[in-house]
Amino acid sequence: MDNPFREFLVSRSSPEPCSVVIFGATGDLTHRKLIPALYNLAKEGDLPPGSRVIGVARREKTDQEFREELREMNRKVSRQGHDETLWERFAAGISYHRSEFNDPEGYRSLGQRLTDRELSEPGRPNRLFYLASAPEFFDVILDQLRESGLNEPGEGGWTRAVVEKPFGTDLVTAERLNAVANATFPERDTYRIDHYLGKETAQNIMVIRFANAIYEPLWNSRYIDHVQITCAETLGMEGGRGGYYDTAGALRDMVQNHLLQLLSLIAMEPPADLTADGIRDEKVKVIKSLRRYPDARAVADNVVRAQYQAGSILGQPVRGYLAEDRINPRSMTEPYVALKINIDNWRWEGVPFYMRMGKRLAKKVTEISIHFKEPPGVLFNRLPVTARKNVLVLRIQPDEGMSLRMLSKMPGPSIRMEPVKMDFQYSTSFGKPSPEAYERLLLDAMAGDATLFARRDEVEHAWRFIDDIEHAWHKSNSPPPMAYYEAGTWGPEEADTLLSRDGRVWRRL
Amino acid sequence: MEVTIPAPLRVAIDDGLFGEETPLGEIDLRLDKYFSVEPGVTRASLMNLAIYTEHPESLADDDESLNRITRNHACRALLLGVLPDLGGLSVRCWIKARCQLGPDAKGKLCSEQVTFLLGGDCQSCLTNLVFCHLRSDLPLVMWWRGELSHHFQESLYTLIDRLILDSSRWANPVPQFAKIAQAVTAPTGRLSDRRGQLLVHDLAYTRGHQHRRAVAVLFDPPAARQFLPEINRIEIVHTPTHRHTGLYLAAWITRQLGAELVQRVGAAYHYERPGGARISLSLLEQNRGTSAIPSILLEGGGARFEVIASEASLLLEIRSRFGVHQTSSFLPGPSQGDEDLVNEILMRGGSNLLLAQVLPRMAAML
Ligand SMILES: NC(=O)c1ccc[n+]([C@@H]2O[C@H](COP(=O)([O-])OP(=O)(O)OC[C@H]3O[C@@H](n4cnc5c(N)ncnc54)[C@H](OP(=O)(O)O)[C@@H]3O)[C@@H](O)[C@H]2O)c1
Repeated sequence: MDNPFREFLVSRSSPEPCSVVIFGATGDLTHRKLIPALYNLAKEGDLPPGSRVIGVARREKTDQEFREELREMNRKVSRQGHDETLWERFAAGISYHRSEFNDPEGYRSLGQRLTDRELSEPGRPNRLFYLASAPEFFDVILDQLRESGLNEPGEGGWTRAVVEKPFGTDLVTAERLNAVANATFPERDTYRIDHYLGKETAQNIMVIRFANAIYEPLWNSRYIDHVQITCAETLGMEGGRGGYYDTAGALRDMVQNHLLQLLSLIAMEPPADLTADGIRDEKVKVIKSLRRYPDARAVADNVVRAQYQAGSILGQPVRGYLAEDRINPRSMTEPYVALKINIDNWRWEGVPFYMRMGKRLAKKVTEISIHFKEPPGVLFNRLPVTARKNVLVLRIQPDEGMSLRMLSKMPGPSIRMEPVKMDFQYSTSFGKPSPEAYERLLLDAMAGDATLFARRDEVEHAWRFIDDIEHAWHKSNSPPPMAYYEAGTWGPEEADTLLSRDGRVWRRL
Repeated sequence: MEVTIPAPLRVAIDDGLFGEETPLGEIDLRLDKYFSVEPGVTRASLMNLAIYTEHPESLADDDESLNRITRNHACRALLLGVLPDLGGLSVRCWIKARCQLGPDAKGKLCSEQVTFLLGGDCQSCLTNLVFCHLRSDLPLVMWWRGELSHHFQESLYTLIDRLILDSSRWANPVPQFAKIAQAVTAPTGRLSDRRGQLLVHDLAYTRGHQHRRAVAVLFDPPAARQFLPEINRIEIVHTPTHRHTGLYLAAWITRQLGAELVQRVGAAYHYERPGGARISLSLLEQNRGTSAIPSILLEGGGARFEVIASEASLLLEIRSRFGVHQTSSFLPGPSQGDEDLVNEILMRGGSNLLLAQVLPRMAAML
């Protein structure tokens, strides 16, 4: 029997109460993102009452100490502020479970705790296991969940696993992790986080494309000249992140997941329906159609890797990459990468997608720009003009929104044209601040909606594409060179050449 | 044209509350000028939002309401004060910008506000005045304060996309609801590009939103749903001003249970389900707490489900007791002020289908 009182009340599936078990609960992610996200869901009344959080980590800690630490952080970072009364009620459902990730006894006692609780309250035994540990523990935790039987849903309930990034470091490790994950949970219960997909603008890409009559007819190689995807950061390796970063690099850390996800949303065909698989079927087709780089030469021609050298950001002098904390001084890891990507399908024949991601660039901005072709070379196009093409920009951060550049006549007796911009900002138009990506994603995982999570085949095909490049860089006999740029600039000259030899330039941001 | 103005309002005007007084023909010109000289300002707008009142002595409060709404919803705001009793026609108007710091404290985001004070009784003047000061292509939301007077007529309401009102203080609700029914079914106006029906929001209904959510949450557990067919008694407590909110909740709950009203005795209503099972529903008026609806109870078959507003109304406690289970948990309480309710409506948007379904049932209980 459905709940008749839910009719018309919510337009999305509402989750049933569940126990959220977080592995790595004393870590940064749990404190900064997961708990504040759950708190804000509770504040909005979206967290199903009766939900509980159990944090697992190895340090000795009482429930009270654990809650105290979480409270401190929530006070600092919560999106909608911190209300003590509400926190008290919310935190009453949080407890701490001390265990090593590889200790079977810890999982047995965890299971006991979950069962005790489930028996004492109505509702079904629903369990969401959130792997918020360092990635090297993902398979240990999954194995232990399977061996302890915690992966098996109890009567009438469900069990699901949410896995943080990075999902593997190459195809082989991703396949191995997928095998472990799928031996423990069926694919439909495996949720691979890509927090970019939880951002409003990313979700808006499909709405813009498929709910507005004016864009989709133009969304192909006939009208689009090329697409640029930029993710620029001003940060370097502060806060000890160098240790992890130097083993990853920009390509693996950002491109394999977030930027290829954005690209697939921009390039996909209209899905047959809005189900999770309907959408992911179309996204994966795009990733499968990415033209691979067969050898080191092709990589050298289409991909630029670079490291920053000393420079300044917002007037402050900053060190070069090799001089950063916890970075190998002879590192060949790239904090910057630029790529020219071709999609071999009907729609995108001959339309390059240029992508760049870098640390210590001039400003923090993530955006996608669609550069339309010039109109036929008659009439006004003979006249001089600075920037002729229409550009549609979708800004992901920091000010989510979009803009469209068009040509307009300058006032005056002669026909002189100048580009003008129509701009739309989320924050100025919709008063409601966008929820944090983790709020949306946690709620979706609890409600069993996998649309905004990466599917196994998406991840593996993305690694196939990335592996060719990593291989050329690190394993070939003639590896493409490392380029360099001054911190605080827009990246190396080589990246500019990647476009200029095609007669194009990066958008000035 | 001179308008005779009630004394408290005169003070507000003299204090510059509504901004700069402007000749009628120069409103847009002056607004454009303001925004072109002010540096770092974004003129933001997502809709036209009008507040209409025939009690201009409350205009200062309405102005404050707009202040609270425009913080969340950038718009062109129109504040319309009408003094119908004055003979002869007269109009005065003022303009101002309402600005706040943009995200990351970069630049300022501004809504613009035009305040009109109309004397005299001229229906078409009102419509024309509203119409020529809307920002094109953006929807018109009108918050009608008080009773629907004869100014609420077809040429005006066919321009409106979303109408917000509050039936809870209407002295004579039956004819008022009849007017709404008429407005909702009226064909779309010649000058509006609204596609569907006029969307109506009654704050008396919106006030019950969190309570409706709470009732839904009570029956989310499948074990609780087993008891739905057994429910035979419903009790809704409302405060004196909020009888309509209680009625709406009653109409909604019984509708969702598939029950039809068969008899009414005072504040006791008797419903029947398709299989013939009876539900008795009572509405109790009590003067306690700050919540419009201090409590809701559904019971039957040995089970009991309750929604109880905390004293300060910040939280709703939900309690259920059935079989061996007994639970209690909390949900956010209802919004407090009218502006918060309006903010909620604007944020949620949507077609408010449920109210359309519940309204006739509620009106039948009046
Ligand atoms: N931080 C972020 O903002 C962020 C953003 C995106 C993705 N991520 C991803 O999220 C994951 C977690 O990141 P993080 O920054 O939160 O990591 P972190 O701060 O290093 O936290 C690691 C957690 O794992 C626990 N742990 C480590 N070894 C353990 C063991 N053998 N047995 C039991 N517990 C053990 C630690 O517990 P003790 O304290 O008890 O040792 C701690 O709770 C990573 O996969 C990361 O890539 C993080």
